[in-house]
Amino acid sequence: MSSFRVLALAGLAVVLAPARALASPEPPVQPRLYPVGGRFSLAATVGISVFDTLTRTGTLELRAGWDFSEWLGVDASVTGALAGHTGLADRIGQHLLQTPAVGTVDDLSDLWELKAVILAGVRLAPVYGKFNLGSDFPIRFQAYLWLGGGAAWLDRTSVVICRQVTSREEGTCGDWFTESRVAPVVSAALGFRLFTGVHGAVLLELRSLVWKDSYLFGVDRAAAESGNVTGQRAPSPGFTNTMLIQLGYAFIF
Amino acid sequence: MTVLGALLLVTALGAAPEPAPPADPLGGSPNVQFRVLEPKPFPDALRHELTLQPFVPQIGSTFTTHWLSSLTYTFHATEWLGLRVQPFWVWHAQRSRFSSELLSRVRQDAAAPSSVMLQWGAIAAPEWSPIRGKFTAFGGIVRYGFVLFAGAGVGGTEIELKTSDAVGPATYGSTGLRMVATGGAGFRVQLGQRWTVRLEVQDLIHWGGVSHINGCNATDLQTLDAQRTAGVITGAGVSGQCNVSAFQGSTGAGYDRSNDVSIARAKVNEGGTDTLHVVGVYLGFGVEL
Repeated sequence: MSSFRVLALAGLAVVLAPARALASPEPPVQPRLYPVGGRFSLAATVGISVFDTLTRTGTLELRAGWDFSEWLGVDASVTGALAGHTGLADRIGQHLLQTPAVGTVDDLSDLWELKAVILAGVRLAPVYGKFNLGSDFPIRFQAYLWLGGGAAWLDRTSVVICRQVTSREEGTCGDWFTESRVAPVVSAALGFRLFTGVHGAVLLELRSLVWKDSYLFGVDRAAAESGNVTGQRAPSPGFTNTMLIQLGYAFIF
Repeated sequence: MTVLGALLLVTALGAAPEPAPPADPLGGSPNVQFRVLEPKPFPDALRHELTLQPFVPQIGSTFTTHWLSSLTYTFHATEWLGLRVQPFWVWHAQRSRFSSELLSRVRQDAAAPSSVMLQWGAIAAPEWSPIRGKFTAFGGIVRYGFVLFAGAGVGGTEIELKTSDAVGPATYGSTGLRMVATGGAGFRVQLGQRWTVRLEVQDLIHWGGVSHINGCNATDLQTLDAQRTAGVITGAGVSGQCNVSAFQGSTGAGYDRSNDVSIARAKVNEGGTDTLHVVGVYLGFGVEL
């Protein structure tokens, strides 16, 4: 009788053991559908500047990247830019020219216009997730922080120093004072890779480009208007921050 | 032969141009045909949320700079829709660095309608959460929602009269109540049953001209200016809404407030209108009740 009881309990244990395992399974965790670790990527983006005051910028960027792991990668990029004065900058120059050229004037800051930039940096992507567009269209994404630097090719057209006034009444200038230089640039970006498949992702990015400003102080307006630009470099010119919103596509190989 | 075949297979797989995504552990199971939707662990419907945004910097300012604090009450009517009421207080509003530079270097000032600053306000707006999701970060799972909102309210406004200089700090005059429209978007992260963190970008939009300063219209200011030229501002003959005392006496730094009359008069006489945007980054910490 006793051995029968033991056998019965053992049989019951054998039957119940799998059932217990099924009753409390490990929570199913879906693996990353779009892993990027160890993969190379090529991307193209277009961008426009936001929060423009005196200059506005449009960019076209080509970028190559390598992801060491799912959360760490590096990028190198070449960007060409079209930049110009805003309407506000032009109005400031026009109003100044309509006043008599008496005394000295200091040029304005944040007037350097981006022409091209090369950048290299580190991409930290600690966030991977998904959201649903509609009821049945899941989008997987990576959010990343990008930090790096490089060199920027910059042009500057003054709105204060005119070397040839065309019309004092209308405030028009035939030859604004211009400069060009190559400057070191620091960049940070916050962005998203919205995966469209194993091979690609839409890029959406907010990028900051910072370079040291440079402009003239104490320019004699009358001398400048006769072609002789005087004055000295501002001792503490500060930094110019250009914010870009960039949208593009990355091919991941 | 079998070993060689296996080697060839491994080599071919290694040389594949793209790595296949890892297999779904449940994908091959004959018992799994549909995935069961996971219920929201932290439902929002019919709950109240209070969010404090203690420090909100303005971004992209042109002529003025605002720093403000805000408290947002949100009633979540459903999981997707809510109504938010948001009072805010601007504790730092002044001429921007760019505007100061214009004034000091090329002696140009922004037009009066472009220089109006918000002092305080309150807005109400429906809030929509069209997207919810979760992500892994640093080994944990975080649930979030993307929120959109747009609404309107009112705000008190002011304008700088005397600029800050050696004589003393800047002085300001009230430009009255204005309608404020708002729109914004951001992310709301839920930390457990009760706590939330919000990161939003919100635009406070107000518009109009400068027709009154401290309640005084152009005619009132002309009268006050004449009295000032005659020797003393009495306030006789001005409209009832005109706050004459704002132009009388001195500031703590010894600046004679009557000097503000001619500045205010010039600004009111400028005319014109402008639409102004105060775009801020709102980082808020909330509790759900």
